[in-house]
Amino acid sequence: MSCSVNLRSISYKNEKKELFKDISLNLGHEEKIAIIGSNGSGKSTLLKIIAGLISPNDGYIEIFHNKIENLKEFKKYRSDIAYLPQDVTNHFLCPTVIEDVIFSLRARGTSKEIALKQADEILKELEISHLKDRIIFDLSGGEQKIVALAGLLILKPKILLLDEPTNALDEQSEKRVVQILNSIKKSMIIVSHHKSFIESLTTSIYKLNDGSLEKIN
Amino acid sequence: MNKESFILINVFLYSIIVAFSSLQFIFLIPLFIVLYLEKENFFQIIKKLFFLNFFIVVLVIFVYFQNKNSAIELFFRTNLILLFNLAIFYKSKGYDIVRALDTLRFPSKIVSVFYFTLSLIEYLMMDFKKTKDSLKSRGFNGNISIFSYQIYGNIFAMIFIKALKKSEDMKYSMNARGFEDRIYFLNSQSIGLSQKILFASIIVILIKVVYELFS
Repeated sequence: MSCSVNLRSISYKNEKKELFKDISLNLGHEEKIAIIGSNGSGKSTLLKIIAGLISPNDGYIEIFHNKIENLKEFKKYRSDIAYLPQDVTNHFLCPTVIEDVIFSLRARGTSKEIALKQADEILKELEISHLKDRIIFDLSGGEQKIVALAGLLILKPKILLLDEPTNALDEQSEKRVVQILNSIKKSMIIVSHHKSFIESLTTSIYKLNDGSLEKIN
Repeated sequence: MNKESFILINVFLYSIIVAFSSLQFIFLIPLFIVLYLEKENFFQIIKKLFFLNFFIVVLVIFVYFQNKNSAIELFFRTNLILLFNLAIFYKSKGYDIVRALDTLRFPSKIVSVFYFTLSLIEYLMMDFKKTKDSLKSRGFNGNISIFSYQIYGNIFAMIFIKALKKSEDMKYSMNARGFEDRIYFLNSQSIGLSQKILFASIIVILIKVVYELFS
């Protein structure tokens, strides 16, 4: 299986403690893996490192077998790697649903007409066309998650990094998110506490425990 | 041009005219138009104006001791401008002002800063509401005591820290999504008849004021 992301001996230390040391991980093409761990174990930080948002203290990352030396080199892979933060309200950069969904395309120079056409398709696919003109802050938590996913998927990324995608969702919204994520054929790393959710979605589960990452199934 | 930018131009022109020319009854016409358009929220608007007047009255009292006429004029001018703005932006969440600034070709950095300031305020307001609810549910009754002030201080500090954390997290999202100082807005609403009538009335006043200035 060809690899989308390889972590090579990654270590990270924040001001308070060493979160993880010498971590290695391979994410295969269209493979879906989950990372679990106790609160404060560094799961979200690890996801940010993979997304190229923060630098590890030691080790390096390979994206499609290309070694990434620093955060600047991540820039050319930004369209390939989509990152959904734990608190989706941090993801939104525009006031209305449609404006936010097309944001990433327009920021990359796509014309308004093409961006709107693609947004219409993705909103239809995720069955949220009716939310198109709504103000994002007026949406429910579940709707916000799906809108955020639409904003990521419009770029047709190859890798999805999702931090607690079902956090604070009701049963129905969670089912909808699982259904959407199951239908997506992309490499995925999901950070979650939600056992039934990750078991229904992923092929491998890793546990981040005392600074090391171990496969648990 | 869209409705939002047209409204912003109306507001700008009206505020400039009222602020820099001698007061006339004709200035009430645009005000009546916007109040008529928001007639169902009239009392809410007046209530807001009343609370804002606490600050204005203090200012007017200071000026009153130096110049009585200036103080009265200041009171009417500020109230006219405030009432006009309150009525015209009553249903606005502020995002249409950002959209208007974008349409009027303000620098993208200013538009972005304005937008993120608004969204951060909205987020903090929601958070503040949640904090108030949890204070209530935990049996906190604010009174004049050191304990109450400590709690208020803690809440203020927590909101400040949350704002910092939020801005840091948003920075990560901006990087991940390829944000480069610009937000892309879509023109939303077209200019309605009421906005055109309002604009016409302001232009008539402007012509009158300019004519009087030079005649």
